Amino acid sequence: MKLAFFIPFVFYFFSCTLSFGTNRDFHSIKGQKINGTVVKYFEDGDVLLKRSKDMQLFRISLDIFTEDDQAFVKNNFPPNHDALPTFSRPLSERDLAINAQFIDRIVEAKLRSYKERPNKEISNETFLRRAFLKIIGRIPTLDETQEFLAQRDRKARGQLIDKLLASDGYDKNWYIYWADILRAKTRVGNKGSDGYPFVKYVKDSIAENKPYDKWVKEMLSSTGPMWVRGNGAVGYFYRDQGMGLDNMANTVRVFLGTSLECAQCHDHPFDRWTQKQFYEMAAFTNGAERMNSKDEEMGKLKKMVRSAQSASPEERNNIRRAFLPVTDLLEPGLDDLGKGEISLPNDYQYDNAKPGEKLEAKTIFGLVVQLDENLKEMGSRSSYASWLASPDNPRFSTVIANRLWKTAFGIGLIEPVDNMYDDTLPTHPKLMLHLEKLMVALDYDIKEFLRILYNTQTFQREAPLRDITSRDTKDESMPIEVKWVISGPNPNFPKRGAAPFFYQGPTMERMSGEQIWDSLVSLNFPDLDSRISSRAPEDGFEKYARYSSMKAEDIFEEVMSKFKTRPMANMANNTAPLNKKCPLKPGRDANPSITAKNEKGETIAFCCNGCKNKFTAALPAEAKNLQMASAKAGPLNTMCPIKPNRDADPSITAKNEKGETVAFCCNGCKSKFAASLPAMTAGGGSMMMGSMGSMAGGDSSDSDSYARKGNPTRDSNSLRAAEVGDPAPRGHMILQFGGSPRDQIQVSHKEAAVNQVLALINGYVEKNLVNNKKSVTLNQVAEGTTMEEKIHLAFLAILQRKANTAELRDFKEMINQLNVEDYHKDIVWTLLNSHEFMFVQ
Amino acid sequence: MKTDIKKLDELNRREFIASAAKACLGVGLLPMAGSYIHHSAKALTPGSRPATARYVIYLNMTGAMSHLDTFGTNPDAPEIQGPTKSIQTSADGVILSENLPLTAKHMHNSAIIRTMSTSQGAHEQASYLMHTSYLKRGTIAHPTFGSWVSKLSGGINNTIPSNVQIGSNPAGAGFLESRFGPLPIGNPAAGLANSKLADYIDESRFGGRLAMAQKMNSSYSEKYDQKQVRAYSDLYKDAVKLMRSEDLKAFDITLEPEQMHELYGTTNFGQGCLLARRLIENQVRYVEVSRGGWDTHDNNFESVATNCADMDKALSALLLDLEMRGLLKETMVVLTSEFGRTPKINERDGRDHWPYGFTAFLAGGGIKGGTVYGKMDEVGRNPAEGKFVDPASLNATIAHAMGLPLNDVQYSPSGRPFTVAHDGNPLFDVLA
Repeated sequence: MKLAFFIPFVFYFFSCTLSFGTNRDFHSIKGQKINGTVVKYFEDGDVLLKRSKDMQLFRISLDIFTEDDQAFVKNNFPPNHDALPTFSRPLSERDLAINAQFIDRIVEAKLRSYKERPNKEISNETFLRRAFLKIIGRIPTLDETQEFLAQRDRKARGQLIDKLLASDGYDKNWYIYWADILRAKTRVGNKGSDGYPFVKYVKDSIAENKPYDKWVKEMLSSTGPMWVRGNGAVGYFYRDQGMGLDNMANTVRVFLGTSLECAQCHDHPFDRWTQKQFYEMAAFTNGAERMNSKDEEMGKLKKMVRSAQSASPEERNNIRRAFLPVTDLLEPGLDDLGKGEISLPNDYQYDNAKPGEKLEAKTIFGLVVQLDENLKEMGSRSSYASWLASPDNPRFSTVIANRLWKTAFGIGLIEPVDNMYDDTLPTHPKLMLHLEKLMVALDYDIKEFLRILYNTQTFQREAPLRDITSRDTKDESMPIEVKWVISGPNPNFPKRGAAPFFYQGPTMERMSGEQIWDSLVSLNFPDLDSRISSRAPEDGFEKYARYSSMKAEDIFEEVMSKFKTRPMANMANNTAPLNKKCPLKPGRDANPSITAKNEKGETIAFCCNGCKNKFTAALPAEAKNLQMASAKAGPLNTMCPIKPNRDADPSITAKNEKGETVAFCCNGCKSKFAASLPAMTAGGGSMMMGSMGSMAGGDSSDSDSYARKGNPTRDSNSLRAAEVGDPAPRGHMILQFGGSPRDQIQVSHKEAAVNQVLALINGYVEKNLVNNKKSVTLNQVAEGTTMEEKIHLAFLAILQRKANTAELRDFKEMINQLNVEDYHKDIVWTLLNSHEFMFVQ
Repeated sequence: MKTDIKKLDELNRREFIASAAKACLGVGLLPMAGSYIHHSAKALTPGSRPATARYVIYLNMTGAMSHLDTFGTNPDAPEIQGPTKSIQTSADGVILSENLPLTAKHMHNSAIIRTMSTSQGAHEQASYLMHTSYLKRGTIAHPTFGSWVSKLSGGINNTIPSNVQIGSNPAGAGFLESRFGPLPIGNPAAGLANSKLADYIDESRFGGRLAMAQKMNSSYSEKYDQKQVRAYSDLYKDAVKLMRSEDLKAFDITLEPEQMHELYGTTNFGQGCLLARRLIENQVRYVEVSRGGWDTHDNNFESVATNCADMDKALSALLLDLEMRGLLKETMVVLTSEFGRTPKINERDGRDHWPYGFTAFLAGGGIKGGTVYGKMDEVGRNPAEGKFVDPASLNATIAHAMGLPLNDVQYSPSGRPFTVAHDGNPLFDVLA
């Protein structure tokens, strides 16, 4: 709080000295004139003017002045925040209650003005489910459900919110939210896992609840090598490497909610931004590019690799590839802190500047930024970061407050959240303004802000039952400022009986791809939240530290000695099939590239895929599972692991360190893989030990704060979406249900598609849950002593409520008709295929 | 005569002009004049021809196929040609590389564009441009061509999606609704994922579960009467319909006789082409099959020959099979890659990335058989005949044959306008 108070004050003082004594004529749009000085610029858009002739003070809305005068005020005076209260954090029970009630009162007053009433309060069952899904991204386990529903304490809900906000599940759920916005990917360019340090950085920032402004500043101004521990923020700019202009457009869209991308190539057609202004903004980050191999050692190493003597061209290539695990760690990163100037493109078409003209960095709105005097040393990116991520930049707080409001209540006060114009109005300007102030007063503490939203009555009310649509602008039956409408009871005539929507309760929404995945997996593994992927390339940090401290000669020596002693790449032969003739059609020769494993795990070849399929279909289920899980025979990867955007050629295979068959797109990738194999297994093992040691020992507080917490787990079917992969692997259920492929900003969606339903009918639900002997929840349900108890347990585990009388009767009827022993499976299947499971009420 | 022309509708008028020119001037015999007529026809009625191709099978050679060793051989330039020889084909005067002996028999139904060029020299960006007609930007996702087909033409068969992708997935529906995006099939032999009941669940048990779920769901959608809920009620009906449908068999290549598997080749790509043909038979509008392994920086000639053995077999099988089933006249088969490979042979006996001239092979519906458009000069850098054809124009050519409106503007959520083939113009020289 002190900081937020202090900075505006300094700015305020500074700008006042600038303008004091410089009286100015302010003109209203109607042509009136007032001569005076600006005393204060209020957040709500009013300005306090002191008239020169009599020193009298006037509070006037800025809207009545000409554009020039408005721009003068906005560019020279930060909005005033000095009326903000101070909070100690975490918020005291009293502060929390006051803040939550304040929001409720605004919402209720607005509803009253529409002659509408808020919805009923939700039951404990619905609250439990909603809170879990919204805060930690999965349904509660059976134990968690029973524990909460047994409580009779009035404070139980608040306590649950606190518990969830402090849990591992919170970190995992909100990582998914930010990864979608920030397009976090493990592999960004073509240098190994060059996006992983950023993935880790985002996870760490959420886990430590880093103040949002600090977090954004770090991302916008970091520089240096990617794999230095703790320097992952560099990945934000590196994500758009070589596309500095796109990065600028993305930054403004994500953090200032303004769409500038049109102005990249031409003046914005609907907004006031010009192409020139866009370039002036881009000048701040211009110059920050990929790290060059300026580093002497790196240059030396590269030279040595190039000149490595070898007999065949193939071997020379293998040597080059053997060094990739080293150079892929040393090369990624960012150089330069921003030059503060940029040249217009050569085809620049407007009159306000010449093609190719040099422009100096200039912000598009808000306060004017002075570039640091020591531009060379300090760079322009930091001044831009401080301008953008500041309470003095009004849109910065608006955007984050609105985003978080939307996550809790379903619809933002401003929609869409990232395409605001100058004249964009929130559906409730006062509420928006209050939330912005709250965000500033809380020093951009996202968790505390969310705690307030979740503790409101508004969050704990029933969802509207019918569709919410944007108001038809021609519909005059509604007050003019109504933006959202709840449809009437008849879907064919939705306007009949329609009512204005203003957060009578949060909207009902379908679970996201990640929520569905995490909920399903949690039924099998209730300890899911504490698991982390053991496949994360975590050892890169240690390896980087080691290599970067080594001399080029030593690195060269080390890699070459490993290279020479590697087992010759004859790994593909290990999969050689046993048979020469097709077992199903003995008259035909078997094709060694069409193989499957038999019950014993031996490789059998077939003449065609038809025969192979017949063979695998006849295998007992267990052997098939074996095939799925471990053997991955007839290489199950369809994409090359070295170049993931390419198809793998199933005839080009090798075994990995676990003995699984992996296919590649070309022999090049295969030998690259083979060459890196001994190094990977050896190095990976020892590094693992190293990081475990530092976790356990905790002698260095530095490495402690970066250590990944949790139980390393290999099977990705038992991991949360946040650990499954960035993005989830191709064809994964998370993507089927609309999880983000992370190529573009916030492209996750909740559209319905037929393959989603197929996955629920025949996919994970049947194969990994209902037919899984080890599924914890399935077994808990089976332990119910009576049919009735089993039904109730399944309902509690999946829908967080007991079955009602009608449901009980119907289920019993179904079970009696089925006449099977293991009917608990049918109950679980049915509930997982219910709409009630798929939607967050 | 003037008044007569005015009375004719557009199509007849164009035919009239063409035939009149041919009859009066004899220009139909001259190749250059032939293109003149097509171009003037285009000037009269842009993009309003009836569709000549109902279906498209797009064979994507990922990693960038060496055009010089496949569809773009140049025996006049031995410097750049290397050891690959050329052979005659079923179309007079059209030559192919010796790596494609089987495809050579279908050249009378096929056309080759030998002056393809792209502005992108990196795989991902170039592949994006080929598929979307737009440059890859950090700020928007453009729909793939198949997604445009799905959006603009809609499906013919309503049980299965009209856009299927076998193999790698370069991009999706972009800013269009996700349902227009490709249905991905990873492994052609495995068919459509999750479309079969587990073998230990019998119909009656499944029916019982389903009836119970439906009972719960109908009371839920009664309470929450919302579009998003009803969508899933409908989808459960669709999914079950699909599971029980004959159309599902479209995805099941195990139903094909052994001879078919062998005709196409038992490789992933061969089986993918076989699946593509089954899908076309079931009225899927757009199927893409990808094949990797073409990034031949090393050992180009051996690798290309190996790849071609598979590709040539599958492609010729596909053309033959479609022809025998009478599907070739309404199905366009396209084979191309994101760019070509350097005329210069590097020290590792390989060829590197070459965006300045590569080939696109087109056959079947809407295509003027036995045609070759353009020729590269002896250093392989500029057209010696014809002009450069960019990815947008290749897509415009396909779109035109499919009867898609090239001018139909779709807006992204931020209000930016886009069209199916961006600024591309159909290459009428290769269209029938």
